Amino acid sequence: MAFYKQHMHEAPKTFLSKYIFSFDHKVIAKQFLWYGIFFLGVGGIMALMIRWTLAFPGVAFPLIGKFLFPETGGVVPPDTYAMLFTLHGTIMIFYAITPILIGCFGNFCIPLMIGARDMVFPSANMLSFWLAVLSAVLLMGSLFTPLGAAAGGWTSYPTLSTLIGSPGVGQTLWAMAIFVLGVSSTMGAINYITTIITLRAPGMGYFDMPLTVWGLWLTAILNAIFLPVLGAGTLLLIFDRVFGTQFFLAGAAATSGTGDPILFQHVFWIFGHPEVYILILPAWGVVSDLLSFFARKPAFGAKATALAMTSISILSTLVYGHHMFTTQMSPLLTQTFMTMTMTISIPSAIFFANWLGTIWRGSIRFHSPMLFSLGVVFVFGLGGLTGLYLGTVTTDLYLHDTYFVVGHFHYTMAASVLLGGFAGVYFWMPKMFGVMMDEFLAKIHFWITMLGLNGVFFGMMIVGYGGMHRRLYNPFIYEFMQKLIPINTFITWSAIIMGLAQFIFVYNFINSLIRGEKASENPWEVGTLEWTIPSPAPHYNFKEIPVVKCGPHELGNPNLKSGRDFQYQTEDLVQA
Amino acid sequence: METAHPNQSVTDRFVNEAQVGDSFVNREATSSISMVVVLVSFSMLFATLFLAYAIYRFQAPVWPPMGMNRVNLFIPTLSTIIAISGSLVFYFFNRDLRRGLINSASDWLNLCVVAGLGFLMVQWQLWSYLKSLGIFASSGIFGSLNFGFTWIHAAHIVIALFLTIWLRLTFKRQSQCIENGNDGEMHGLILKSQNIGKFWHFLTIVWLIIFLFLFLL
Repeated sequence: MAFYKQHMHEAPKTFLSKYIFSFDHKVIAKQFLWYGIFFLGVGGIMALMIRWTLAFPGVAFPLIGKFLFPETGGVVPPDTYAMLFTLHGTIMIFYAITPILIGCFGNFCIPLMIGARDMVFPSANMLSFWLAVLSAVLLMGSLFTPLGAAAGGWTSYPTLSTLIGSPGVGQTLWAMAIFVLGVSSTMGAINYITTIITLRAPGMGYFDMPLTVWGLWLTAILNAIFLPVLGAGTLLLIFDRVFGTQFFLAGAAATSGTGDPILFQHVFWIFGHPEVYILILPAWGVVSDLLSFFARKPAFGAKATALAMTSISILSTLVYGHHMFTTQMSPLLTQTFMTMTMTISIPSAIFFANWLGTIWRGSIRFHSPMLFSLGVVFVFGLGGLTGLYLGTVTTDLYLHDTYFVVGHFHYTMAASVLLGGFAGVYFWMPKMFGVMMDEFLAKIHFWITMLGLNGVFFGMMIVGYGGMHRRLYNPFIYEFMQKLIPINTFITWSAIIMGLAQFIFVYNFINSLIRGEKASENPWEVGTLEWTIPSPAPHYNFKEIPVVKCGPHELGNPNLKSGRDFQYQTEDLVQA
Repeated sequence: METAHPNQSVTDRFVNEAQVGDSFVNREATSSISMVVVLVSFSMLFATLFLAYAIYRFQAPVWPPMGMNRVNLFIPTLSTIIAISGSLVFYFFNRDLRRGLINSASDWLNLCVVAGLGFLMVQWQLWSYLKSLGIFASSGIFGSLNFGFTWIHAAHIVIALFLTIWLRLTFKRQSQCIENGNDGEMHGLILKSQNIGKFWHFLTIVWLIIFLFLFLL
């Protein structure tokens, strides 16, 4: 390991080199964190507008409605509604979750947890962030074009996304933004993969890596392989829209020979299904570590968890067809995809059982990172189980494109990842900024968020099962849907409560930065490498490259006689 | 009681290796690993395009579609010859650079730039020729494939060409350092050249596949 020696560079001195165009992985991580939190707010407000429209059709959106939609007296117009659900999905997935879970935690944790001084390619790392900024400018710029932003859904299926369905520039800018972001994420992935392979501290085998690093590594591998697939799809979409090619046009729209709109769905989901795991693997990794740290026990079956995550990553590449059961796919294919999808349950069950095994009879410390981690265990369990109904052809045919799907993927991709992200922020805040966040406020934040998100996403599954389709501006013009108005109102109030709870986090975060309690070197009493150095981590990370002598979860060892219940990875394993 | 880690001897070995530090072999391995990942990513992009091609081709009752003519092979064959020659030239450049034959390597590098520019000029001719046949990007899926795929490939050639020109511009300064016995500069130049060379070879392979499926079959 440690293929070569990383030198300690001089600390940057100017404002620009220190905070804006920094090569330091920790600064880039913080840049991604701010970027992600900003877009979490933007996407969150869009979600509230969507929910408001569904609960109170025809009523002006409070506070900012009249400013944003003066022509309708503050009511969200139908075409804007389509833009809102398109941008909400796009922003939350690509501009909020991806930068926080992968950009921030990937950049911050990988070098610190493997004992490196920085990423292997610091300049590519910086470029990756600024390309993400360029992508965000393209996407947000689309809001100010004559026909507005993209409105074809976050999946942007043709023909909704071709010039026929979306004649404005907004959809083209959407495709360009996604392409640029793909380049940015691929650059990050190349950096992560190479860094983990070549810069692990001496003595650190792959199974000595914390599971957080495992999750980020697998995510990077999936990103490097599958983002270019989406890149190719969006490139062809851009060609269709800008140069008049006909890759995704069929029938009367194509003059000679024929394109294929369904092809985009194939390409999108070849990327899109691994994307689910791209987003959730870092959260799984973080939670797998935190459960062990706060249960004061070694991670139960840590190797099996790592291998289960690897198996899921591999299987995730073979199941994309379950998103397309209703596209007149051959029954032989649907059954194959269904069977492959069901096999994912096996490794999922293994690591889920390992999570339970980790906390079983542990001396659990219910600090905020642990609460959020336990929240992930709960919501991911629900999200995973409801996925079975959508992976099965017979039930999916009924549930396809309903709010059941929306509820399911929000449980897995939004709730799990969001809670995992919060767990990570509360946990690494001391090492990132050198301060502790207020535990009391963090716990209030957790409980209100938990109540709110379950009200929203479980409610969505109920109305979906009742037959409510997604993406409808006003479903209640259908008589049979009118009985679902009360529960939709309940969902919206839950969403408002969940949204308001995030102000507690923002206050706590900013207040801690300004006047937070100074953090000690190792406030959580765990043994991974980042906790062997001062808080916040110095710019060179490690004065001496550490030598790893034991695993990352050496907690609660009864042979320890040093007065602590954990060992650092740099210490020899204490045996009887 | 503290006992030795089961991998203690391995640990010691790695500590020693880490102390040895900056060996060229290790840096070359790091560079190769990252370049493999880069090329896997690019391969997936082109593999997706070829998947699309296969679907269009298998769905079409006749190929080329009604009203379209096959493209004369002269220009695509010329592109193929230039692409293969460019790859060979880059190989010779890398070989001579590794042997320390700076002047000869410099000549080969000039030829690499010429090959890249030549390929792009021939592609321009191909697009003009397609238009003269009445095949435009908007002429159904046949035109879309011919233009779309060659555009994407040419865009990658432009990137490779820029990289080669950058290599050319820095080559003089770096080769002077090499002549003064600066091993670090030498290693940096070799790694840079190897990676750009791999990208050229990759694009040659992609072109061969485009030539086979789009023009020959």
